[in-house]
Amino acid sequence: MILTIWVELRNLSLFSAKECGLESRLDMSLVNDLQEVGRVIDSLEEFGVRNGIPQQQVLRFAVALDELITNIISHGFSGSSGGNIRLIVEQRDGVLSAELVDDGPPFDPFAAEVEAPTGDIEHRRIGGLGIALVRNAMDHIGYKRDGGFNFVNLEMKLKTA
Amino acid sequence: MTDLNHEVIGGSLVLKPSRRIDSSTSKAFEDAASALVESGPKKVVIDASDLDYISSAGLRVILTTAKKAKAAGGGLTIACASANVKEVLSVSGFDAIFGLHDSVDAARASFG
Repeated sequence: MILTIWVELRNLSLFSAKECGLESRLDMSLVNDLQEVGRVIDSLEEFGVRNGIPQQQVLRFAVALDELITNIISHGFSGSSGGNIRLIVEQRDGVLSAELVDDGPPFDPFAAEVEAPTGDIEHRRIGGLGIALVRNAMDHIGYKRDGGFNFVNLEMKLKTA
Repeated sequence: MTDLNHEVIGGSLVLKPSRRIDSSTSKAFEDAASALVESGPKKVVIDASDLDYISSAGLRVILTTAKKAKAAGGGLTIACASANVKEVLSVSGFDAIFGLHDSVDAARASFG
């Protein structure tokens, strides 16, 4: 009983983000729909403008978020109409960081071995490329499962112009 | 959204996607590119001058489009990619498969 209430409270607090962006923080609730990816990149670009982060670095960061959110929606939530994702992006001390939390089944996006891209046009496979792009762009990646949620953390050092 | 800038230059189909090919826009790009390749020239140049962003969803549709063009006796190559787009193409090895060119003319010339 107590546990249920706690989980519900936690659910509420995790997924009731207001669509507000404080100066160096972006906080968004996303539903189970790939169209959300477009909204995330738009918001991230606005966040970058507000915080004076060069567009090139913002978009580099955005690719990683695109890949991970697409993964959650296509694989984590596959076959389910529900599913919630919360995204928090912060800029602090020259580091752009993000936390993605979802209530899908346990799924560590970084667990799979990364294969080097090989093969000609006929035999090229795209699976796994998304995560290779995340690893390439980020300085730190992390995953944990806690209390029924997946937590993915990303950090990218900003380059001073 | 489904509008895809394109023109036919000297027997090549030049596709000019704008802003982003991400998970939310890749389907529209795929449908438009597919229809254009079916009805137009099979030598396809992706002019990336106006493209700020591509993710693996975009790579997937480039590959699909390339396969279609190749099966019809043509091919696909890429011109004028920005630094970000180049980086994604390079991590995926797509730069080596399709070739990157500094101009649409150079891209067209690569078809021989």
